[in-house]
Amino acid sequence: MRSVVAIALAGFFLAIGCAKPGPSQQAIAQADYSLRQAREQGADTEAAALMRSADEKLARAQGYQREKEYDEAQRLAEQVAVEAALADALTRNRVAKAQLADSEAVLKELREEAERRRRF
Amino acid sequence: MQRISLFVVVLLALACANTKPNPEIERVKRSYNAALEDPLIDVKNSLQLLEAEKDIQAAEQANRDRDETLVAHYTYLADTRIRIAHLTAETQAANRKARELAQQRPSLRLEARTAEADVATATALKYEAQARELDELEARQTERGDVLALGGVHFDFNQTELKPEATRKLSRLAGFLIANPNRDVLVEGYADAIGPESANETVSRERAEAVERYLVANGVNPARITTRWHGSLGPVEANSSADGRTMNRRAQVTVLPPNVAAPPPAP
Repeated sequence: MRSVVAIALAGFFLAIGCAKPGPSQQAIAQADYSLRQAREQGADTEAAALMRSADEKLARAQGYQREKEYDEAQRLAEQVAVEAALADALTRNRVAKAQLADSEAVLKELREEAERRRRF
Repeated sequence: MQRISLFVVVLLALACANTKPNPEIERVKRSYNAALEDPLIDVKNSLQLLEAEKDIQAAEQANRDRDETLVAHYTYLADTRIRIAHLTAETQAANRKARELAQQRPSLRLEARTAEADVATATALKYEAQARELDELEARQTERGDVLALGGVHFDFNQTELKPEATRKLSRLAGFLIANPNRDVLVEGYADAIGPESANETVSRERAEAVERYLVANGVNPARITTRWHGSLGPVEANSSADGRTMNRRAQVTVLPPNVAAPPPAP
């Protein structure tokens, strides 16, 4: 019986130990940074819906942080960070594809020009 | 006795370890394994896949702890990271391809220029052949120049669309004109004498323009083409027979003498 109480106490302190403001604060800072990076890539236009929902989530994470719900805050902030990274990846992907399409069009034009001149 | 207690402990440990596999985690694991097999992804250097692997382990731990919230959290993170890994690999492939294409550009530009030079040489060499070709186009020497009979440039009644025989001749003519920039061309449209003259005017103009359009589309500078139309005037045959009318529904092309512009229209 005594051991059960000891384990329960240890678990309790462990839980308390995890729920410090430090890690969640860091996760929020990381999420904020990732969002700004995605924004610099132009994610607000290329992945607008994703960016909006990530912004809302970050605001919720900050709310939990203020209410000292650190676990919730950290989870949400971690999700925001990957969502921002996804928005960033989507944006870079769309830009790269558009540039490739442009290059292909230019090349096609050049090829046709060479062909026209050869034909006369 | 000690053995038995050890046995019980082992059994208990096994029971604890034997948590049910979570279908969500299993699904994420499958997509993680699929990503490992994706030839586009540089698996060894994919930070996202490395993180996804840690997330999957965390999700499994959470499943053992029966913490559904954390299972959902870590599978979500892993899922998103796997998606990012695919997207990033795709982006890198697109960028690689764009770079390759950019490298091809200068050589293609050179090719275009070389083709142009080749054409210039070929032009000189083919000049005689072109003159012969003009003969082959059944050009009739007149005072105004070489009038191409262009037997094919006849039209169906009230039609202005070029027939295939006509386009064959005209594309050879276009080649001739491009090779001989000092020769301009006069295109004249005619109609038969059926129907009101205003309609004949229109149809004869459209016939001349059809020829002009075709030549321009085949690379002849439009400034070198003069178009005229005469309605039903200037028949080559009597309009009383169907055959005669067919011959009259025509466009006539005159290759003007070297460095001579089209004469002004008849008053």
